[in-house]
Amino acid sequence: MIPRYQKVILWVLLISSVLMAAYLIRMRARTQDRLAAIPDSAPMPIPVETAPVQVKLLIANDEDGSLAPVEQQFALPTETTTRARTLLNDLFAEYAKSGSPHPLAPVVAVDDVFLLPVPESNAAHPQQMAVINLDGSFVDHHPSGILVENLTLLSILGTLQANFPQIAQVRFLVDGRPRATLAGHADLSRTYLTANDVPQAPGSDAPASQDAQSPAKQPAESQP
Amino acid sequence: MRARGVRWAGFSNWVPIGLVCFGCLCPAHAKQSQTQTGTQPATNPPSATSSQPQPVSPGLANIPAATQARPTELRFLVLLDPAHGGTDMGAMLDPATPEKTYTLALAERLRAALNARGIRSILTRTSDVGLDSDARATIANHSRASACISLHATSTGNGVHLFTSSLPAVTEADPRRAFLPWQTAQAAYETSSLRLESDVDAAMTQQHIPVLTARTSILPLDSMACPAVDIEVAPLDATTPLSDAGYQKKVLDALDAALVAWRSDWRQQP
Repeated sequence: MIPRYQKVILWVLLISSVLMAAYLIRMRARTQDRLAAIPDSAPMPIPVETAPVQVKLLIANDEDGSLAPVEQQFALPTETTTRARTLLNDLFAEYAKSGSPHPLAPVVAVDDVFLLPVPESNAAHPQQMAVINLDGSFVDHHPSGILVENLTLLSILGTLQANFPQIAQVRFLVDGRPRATLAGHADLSRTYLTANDVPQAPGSDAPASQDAQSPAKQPAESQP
Repeated sequence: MRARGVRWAGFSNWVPIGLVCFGCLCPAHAKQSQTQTGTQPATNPPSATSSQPQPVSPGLANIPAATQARPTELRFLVLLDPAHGGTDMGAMLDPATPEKTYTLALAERLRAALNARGIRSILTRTSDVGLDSDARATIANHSRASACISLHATSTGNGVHLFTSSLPAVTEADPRRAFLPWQTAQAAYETSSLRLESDVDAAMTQQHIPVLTARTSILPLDSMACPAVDIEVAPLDATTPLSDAGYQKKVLDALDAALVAWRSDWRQQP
């Protein structure tokens, strides 16, 4: 038999709990409303409508192993790293189209592009190293083979060289980590030099022939 | 003197050209012994006429006695490197055939064809085992091969793709030739590698197989201290896949003929 005074205490506690819960819910809602009413003081870039610009893409062809320069119009961001990333993703969007001469999976290829100064470059003409962070799903879906992997790397290097002449060196990461090869063959562990590695056909805009693909390594002294 | 390079303890990142490791205690020898399945390290020098100690590849234990009786033949050795293996499948050529299986089968058939011609050859792997690039280059450099052929396969493109190293060539007059970094050992063999590639190109063309030649940076090619070519076999055309027996025979015949031609070229070199 429960005494009467205990029943009263129980009911009082129960009603108090319900009232406190209702009060807390109400206070939380009011706080949310108050925070939402505070204006966001963080700087926000003003959207700039950029006009399409002429860019040059080096399009690879698996059949003859060539790299052909193709002029296209793209609207690109003004900030350099974002511009480089967008350009490379536009390049890979071309490869994802049906009938592409170098078919690749329609996934986002480049997550980030970081630009670092090259210390030994001339002060009058400062050069930069681009660190390209490839997306893991792109690498996982990339076709395997010496030729096809080599062409992908040369296409990236050639496109960067054509549109960002200050980029002299390129290194690759995959999901933020170093990786030995692209899909089992092409070396992703070394630094590529755009001046040496991109095939230069006779005549600046002529397509590079298959025999001209000669990604040369850095001099032996500078190997890691 | 034909320069040779090895990698051994104390020089893990350097290839002393002209020096060889005479013992079997260094890590490179130990690794090599592990990768050559079913063979024991030979204790006899590879050449019956040589009085100086020579580094001996375990693969030499497989040389038929009849071949060993001909010293001039013994100096010419072909290293065949079937790419990938173990957990490294390589490209999937079709849903049932990974690249590692195709390259191993191709290498074994090529070895049989070369043996029938009296040309000695060794394989970097004779079963489905994984080998890293350093292990493959170690086997190649210890074997002192006259030709190093890395075999690859792809379902992209057509014909045969030939690749030589894109390293800047290091001439005999270059003082750097004495000690080259392990990753750039191939630089001393650029000229001979291009001549070997030319022989393969000519043989493939004779078999009416389209050839694409290019230069690239790929391991273990860059670490090999021997005339070296990477050969990537692609379907002949849209109707002739890699599995076509006739196409495979043409590729093997061409490689066989190329290595026979290279044996003559190699002997004429200083």
